[in-house]
Amino acid sequence: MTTSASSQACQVKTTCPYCGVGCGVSAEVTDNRLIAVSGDKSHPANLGRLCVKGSALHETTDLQGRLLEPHINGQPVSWDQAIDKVARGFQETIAQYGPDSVAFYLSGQILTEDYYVANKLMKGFIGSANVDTNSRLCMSSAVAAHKRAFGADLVPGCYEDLELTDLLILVGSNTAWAHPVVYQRIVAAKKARPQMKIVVIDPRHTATCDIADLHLPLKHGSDGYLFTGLLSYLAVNEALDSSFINHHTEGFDNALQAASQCTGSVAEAARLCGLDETDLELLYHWFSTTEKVVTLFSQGINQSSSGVDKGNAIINCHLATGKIGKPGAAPFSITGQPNAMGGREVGGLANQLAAHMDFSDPANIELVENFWQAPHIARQEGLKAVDMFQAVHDGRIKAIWIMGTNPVVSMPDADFIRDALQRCELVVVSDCVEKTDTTACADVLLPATGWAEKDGTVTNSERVISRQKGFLRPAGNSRHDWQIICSVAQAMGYAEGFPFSSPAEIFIEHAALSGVGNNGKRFFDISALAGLSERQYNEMTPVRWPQVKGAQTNPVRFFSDGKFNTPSGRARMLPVEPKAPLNQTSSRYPMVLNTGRIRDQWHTMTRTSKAIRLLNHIDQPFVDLSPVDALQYGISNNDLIEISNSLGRCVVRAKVTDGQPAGSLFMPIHWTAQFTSRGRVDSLIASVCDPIAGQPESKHCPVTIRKLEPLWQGILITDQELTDLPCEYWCKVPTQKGFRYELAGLELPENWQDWLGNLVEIGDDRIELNSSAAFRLATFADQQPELLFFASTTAVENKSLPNSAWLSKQFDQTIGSAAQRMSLLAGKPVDNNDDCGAVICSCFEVGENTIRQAISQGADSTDKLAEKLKCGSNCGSCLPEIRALLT
Amino acid sequence: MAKVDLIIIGNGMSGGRLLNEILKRDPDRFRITVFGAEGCANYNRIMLSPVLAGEIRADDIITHSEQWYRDHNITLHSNDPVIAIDAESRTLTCQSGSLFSYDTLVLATGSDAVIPPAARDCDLDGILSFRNLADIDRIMSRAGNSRHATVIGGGLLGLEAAWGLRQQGLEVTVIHRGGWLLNRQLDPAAGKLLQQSLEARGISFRLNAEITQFSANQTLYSDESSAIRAGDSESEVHPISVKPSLQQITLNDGTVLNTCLAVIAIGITPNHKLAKISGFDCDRGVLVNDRMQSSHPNIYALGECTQFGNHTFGLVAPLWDQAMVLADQLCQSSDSRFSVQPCATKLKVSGIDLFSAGEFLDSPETESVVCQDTTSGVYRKLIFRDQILTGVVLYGAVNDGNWYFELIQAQQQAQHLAPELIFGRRYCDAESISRLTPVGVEQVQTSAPELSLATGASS
Repeated sequence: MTTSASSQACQVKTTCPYCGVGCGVSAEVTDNRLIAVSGDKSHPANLGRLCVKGSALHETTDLQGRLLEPHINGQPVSWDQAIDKVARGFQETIAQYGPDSVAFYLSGQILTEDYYVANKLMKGFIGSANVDTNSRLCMSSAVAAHKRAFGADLVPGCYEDLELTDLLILVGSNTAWAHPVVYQRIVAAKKARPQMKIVVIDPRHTATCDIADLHLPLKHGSDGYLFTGLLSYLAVNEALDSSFINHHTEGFDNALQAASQCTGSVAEAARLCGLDETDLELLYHWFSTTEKVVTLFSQGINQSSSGVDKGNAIINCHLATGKIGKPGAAPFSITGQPNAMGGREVGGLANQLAAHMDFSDPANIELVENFWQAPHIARQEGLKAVDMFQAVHDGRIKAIWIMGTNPVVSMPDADFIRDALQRCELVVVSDCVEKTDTTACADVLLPATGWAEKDGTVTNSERVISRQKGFLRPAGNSRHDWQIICSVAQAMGYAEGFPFSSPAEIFIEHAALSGVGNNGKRFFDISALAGLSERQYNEMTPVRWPQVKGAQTNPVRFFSDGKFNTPSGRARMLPVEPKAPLNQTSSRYPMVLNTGRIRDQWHTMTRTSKAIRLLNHIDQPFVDLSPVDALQYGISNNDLIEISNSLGRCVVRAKVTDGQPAGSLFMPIHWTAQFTSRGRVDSLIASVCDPIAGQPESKHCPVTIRKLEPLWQGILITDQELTDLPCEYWCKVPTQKGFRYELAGLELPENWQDWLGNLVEIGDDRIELNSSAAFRLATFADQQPELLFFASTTAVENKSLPNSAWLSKQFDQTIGSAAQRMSLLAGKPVDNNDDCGAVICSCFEVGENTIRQAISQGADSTDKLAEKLKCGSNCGSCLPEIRALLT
Repeated sequence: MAKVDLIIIGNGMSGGRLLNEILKRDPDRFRITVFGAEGCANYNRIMLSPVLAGEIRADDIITHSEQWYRDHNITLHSNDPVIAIDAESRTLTCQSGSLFSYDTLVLATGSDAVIPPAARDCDLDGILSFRNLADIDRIMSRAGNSRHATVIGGGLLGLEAAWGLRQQGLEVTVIHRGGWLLNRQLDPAAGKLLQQSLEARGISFRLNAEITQFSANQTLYSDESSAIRAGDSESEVHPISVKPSLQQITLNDGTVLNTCLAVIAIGITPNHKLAKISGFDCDRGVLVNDRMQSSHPNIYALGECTQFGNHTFGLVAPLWDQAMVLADQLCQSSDSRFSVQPCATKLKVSGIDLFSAGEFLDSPETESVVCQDTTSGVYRKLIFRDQILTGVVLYGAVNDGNWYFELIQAQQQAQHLAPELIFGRRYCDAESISRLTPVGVEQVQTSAPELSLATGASS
């Protein structure tokens, strides 16, 4: 970046910071401002497409709500003070309690270079492997399944396979909402080749089903049975690829035996999955008779107490039929976050060491120790996320550094996490946002750069490494995560290991490590990139790994040659005995709660909520439920619903939808305590994990529901940002000029004026409405609305609250006339065609405009006007005025 | 066929209206004679206050000029009041001694101002009523030499007078017995708003106040103008005399105000003196039936002098109804009957629109919806009783007053339309409204909303 050219518009190619598709973004930048974004046509992931979130990126880079200064205990401090505090805090803790008394909790949002230095500091210099990441919540089951089957965490295919395939099975993935651009590519492929079959396996009828030839609404958590059933079907129907099995796999017999034992027939599999046998057999038939099959799986598989087995059950089917390593044929794990893959490559998880090496082989530990010149190399796995926070809670971990993530919202048993952090002696949080549920628990707050300021690389779901570019100046006093980590490392006395002055230097070391002692042993090898110059790094175009130094070509797909990354070179087929979700429903908690993303928000909304239009789609947290359950519980759309279990309690609005199976619920993951009273869905999720991957079972949680009967509902619009409003339900919805708060209460305030006055200042220039059933207030300053408040005790059953969108729009308007003020308070637009003008004849309410109109139509005397409009025919007081209009 | 001799005693608004109605029906039926006390043409009494305020001239409010009477062959006798009626002989006697005989007689003698006891008991120059054009002349002439005027009565007429006087440049204080202004039409909040608005226009108020004494200071005020005794009936003529001038008034709380002009506007009472001395059945007014007949054959009564059942009248709309019924009777065009229709009050005080109908005070049995705009000064209140709209007070923005009035008459349950209802008809869901439309709404609509200006309609 050159600053001299900053006043001129320039196009910068960068990468979207949201989901794991990893779309290329063309950013138009002028004067340190992001003017517009568009899809990068040259990027292999999106080829010019962007989803609605990506298209709104330029609306999210303002400084509102940014963390701009380091803070200690809520007070702004200098960077030196903050770094010193963190370094000394960690050092003293380590000195007193050992290296395993500290931990880093990272994020799939930070860049590979950030990940690399954090991982290096903890595992090579502090001497603990207590580095884990929110990717644990997202794809660690898939990582473990990959490692078990392929010998390493390898995604065999690429997005093109989704277009080349003849049968695309989407399982546990609402691709349409969670990975919109990949979905668009699938839609386009299906349009081009209608014979291509698409099957959606999901308990819910989601938007993704729009293009499905077959939707299998299986029982929650029964996916394992579906794929063991498929394996036994393939065997029974002689649809196996014996040659591939014999030459390239091991463990087939055990795998098939296990599958046959639990799901020996289609009927049995259908029963266990709660599916129509004919439908299931159709899928099996298609799978067995189609050469090119891709099974795309995501959190519906991963977020399970048996997610690794489910992943292997899927992979088994592809291995047994040789549908892997070929164009249009692969099992395909799609990741949630923009750089989950980069973190995996770096080794930024507690059960990894670095560069696809783990702790199982002492030679690897020695290799990394030498490469890093590490004074304190970790020699065993650290604590995975759930265990890590448990250790924080029980005091084994006394200092934790959280970077770029919001575990108080996203971890299971989220209230326990908050409790853990509140108990912890030293909580350091690096973030680009000032107020999150997690920064609220921090002792030290470190302002990190955000997207468009950060500079480095990310890897998407198809192994493509792309540059994320810093083209805006860091906000306030914020610094890059890698800089902050290096500063702390240096302050801890590890300057020699962290001499980095640019992300390029870090990336090059990372790339070099991937090639050290490799010689084909580790499929993750990007050593060809270790020779990049700073400039080449900056200009690097998207590149798919592997990138082996000296190799003539690098494969687009893995395993085309039938070689896997296991010691034997064969893929492992695993015997899978599917298990039901660990926590089952009971009479006390009879409903199954499922969780997931919505289309237009990202994670905890810290950035997407800045783009107002992204709240147009869905503006409040909700729970989907089936019409059957709605009937049973007497619930209608928009009713306020309490969802609870022994862990927590949420309050959101009901959405009754045919797409939700009876007995189950769905809630979005995005709403935090910054946005709503009780919307943190993870406060309900138990810390039940897959025993291998440590990934929580976030898709299956027994709960009970209850319809709440609010005594009032309301809307408040103000430019003030509020939290903890004194009512049962509140939800903050950012608008162009302020914030709209949707409200509901179980108790009627004694005095509305007082209730409101405790929250916001109420100006004198006001219009208000008072009745037993309603209170409305609008205040103004210079004809601009300052405060709008509507409360109604009858809002529940009728329309006595105005349309929220209309009201929000009014907040940005100039409201000058008395009629406009009245219309605002009425909560409805005034039709100007109806405006009869100033009343001339009071007796018959005839206005000036009406009289003028009648005159223009020929009523040219007071008598004629009286005949036509009655005006002036009663008391006659207005006759002088009418006569004046006539002349 | 020989014409019938019709005599109308009183040339006020109801008398004038009756003439119009008769001419509309049967212009040649009667030989009409009208006796008026004011010595001029007929005019719209409702418009006295703008005349006082100087906004319009007296000529502008003439409804029937002297030329009009000539054009319609109607004999108009001014300045010669009728002093006796002999129903037996169908004759009447004027002050001048002239005798007239009639076939049919209509009494339309109007009303008089109510005079408070303290004013009755004194005999001071400067205490005036506000009833007719002559009063305007007297007030104006007195006002020309005064800096300050006191208006007694914070009702409609008093406020109109106060505003008119203020427009003349006087400092004005209104003495009002009620706790708020227009306490027969408005609730305290609206009354308070009106007060604030008028205060901003330079009028002062003393509420919950009564005058205990009017006093003079002859050393300061000698004879300076023609002195008219307060409470004069217009049917009498008083010689110009020299009297002590009003200088101070004392209120019931002991406060003494310096003032040399007091305008009394605390109410009206039917003028039934002539009927009474002539032996007609009278109570508070001349008793009439629903054909407007008095207790004597061929003699009718009309307007503010009448009493129908327990009702006396001060609003214009029932007078118009009476005129129609009476014209029907006299012309035998139909046998329509008079009945008392519910009234809504619509008025304008110093440019502020007001509307009031039905209940206007909250009670434990009522629920209300109130909308108030501090800046534009709009205040609207709806009162419900058992879900039924029973009252409305509109201040500043009176749109849809008539519609509320209809809803009140219709007695349909309308509370479920609140709070939108308070913003007016076009803010309410059309379908809900259509379901509200009551049976017989036509009838209500044809009944003109009432105008309340408690001026005497005729005399």
